[in-house]
Amino acid sequence: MHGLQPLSSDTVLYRVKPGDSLNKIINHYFGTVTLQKRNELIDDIVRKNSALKNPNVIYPNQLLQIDIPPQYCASPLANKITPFINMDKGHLKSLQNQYRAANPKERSLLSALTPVMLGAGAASVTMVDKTFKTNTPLVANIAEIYNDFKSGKITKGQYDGQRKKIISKLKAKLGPTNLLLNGTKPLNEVIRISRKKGKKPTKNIAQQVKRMGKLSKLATRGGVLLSVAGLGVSCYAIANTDEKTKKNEILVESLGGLAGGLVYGAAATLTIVIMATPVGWVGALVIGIGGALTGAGTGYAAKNWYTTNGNKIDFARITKVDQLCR
Amino acid sequence: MQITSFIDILGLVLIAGLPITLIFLIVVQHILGFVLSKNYDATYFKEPYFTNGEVESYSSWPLSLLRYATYIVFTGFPKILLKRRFKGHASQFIPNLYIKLICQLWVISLVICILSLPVILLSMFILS
Repeated sequence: MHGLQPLSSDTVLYRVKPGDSLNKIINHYFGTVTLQKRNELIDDIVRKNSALKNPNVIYPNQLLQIDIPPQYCASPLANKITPFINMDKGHLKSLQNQYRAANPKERSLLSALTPVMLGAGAASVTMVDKTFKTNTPLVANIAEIYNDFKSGKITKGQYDGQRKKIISKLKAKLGPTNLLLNGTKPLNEVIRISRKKGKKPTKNIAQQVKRMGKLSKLATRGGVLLSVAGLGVSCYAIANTDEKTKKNEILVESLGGLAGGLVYGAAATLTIVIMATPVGWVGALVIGIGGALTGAGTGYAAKNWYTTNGNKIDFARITKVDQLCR
Repeated sequence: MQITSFIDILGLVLIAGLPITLIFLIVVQHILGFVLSKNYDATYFKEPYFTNGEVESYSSWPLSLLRYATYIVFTGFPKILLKRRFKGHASQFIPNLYIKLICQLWVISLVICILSLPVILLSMFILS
């Protein structure tokens, strides 16, 4: 068992093994208990692990925060330093997500295509979120092995060896996305145990996990941000144009593009649902680029319609956009 | 504002009607998804109906919209999904008639929106 064990609260961070179920984990820590007690324990685990939506579905390598009986407390040696990560914090939710390793081919292609994906729209950007999410548990591993080392479970040599292995694995998986995370700083420098007095030893690791969580959120919402940014650019262009016709052309092109993008998104959603096709990163890339192209094409058609029909309707005035974008 | 020709109507639908309708459908999708998830998640949101990767990615927004859309299509038109994703599995949740009707309306509206875009673009191209 690996665990971050704060002595005061008797809580462990349990990594789910293949074949585990909540009942099995409860049996391991609490032995035979009544049905009522078992249900209470399950409710408690679900409450403490907000990412655990269904108690019947847990995955290998998923991390669960579990309150344990006193006999499973950390050894007295761990009293000196108690690395503790509060699993209730939002940015650590990603720690609880299932850890799934991509195969090497996917990893290398994903890394190479990351810059393209970043520009391709919401669906593609979501895949960058996946890269961070799936690799966050690796960072947490370092805190776990440090905890094992301090509680005497593994030697200094074993700790150093395992840490090195995790960092090189993380390096390979993050690829160029590490630039987004840490700039040009090498990973082993970023993820290190702090030796400073008065500072928690795992502070750097917790910071790294937090940063990955934040970037992950940013990436998920990246598509929305891009759309909002697109509308913002249009608004800026409208504000900087004196000519009424020009203002309307920009507005009509933006709204036409929005319509095209939304229709494309709706078509992609319905196709995926009916075909029951999981969205891989290639699919996400195609959806992202396709959406951008459809949006651009529809925007062009809308602008063309507006100019060829003699610019009869003053949309900017009707919608009050000319007053909003000053 | 004077609407004098058919092409004017097409243009208005393209730049105002479609975005407004689709944004409205997305709002309805969130509400229906929230209601249906409560009933379907425990039974269907796991293997073999969804792969592990889907369970992971469809748990959080924005890809959760795909899960919501799956549930809406399943409620409105169960036969479509019983052929593929929920193959041979009869629904344990008997939806309220109104929810079923709203789901059907949602799917039909979405299909109309999707089909209308190429029709509008083609008509505009021919007429102008």
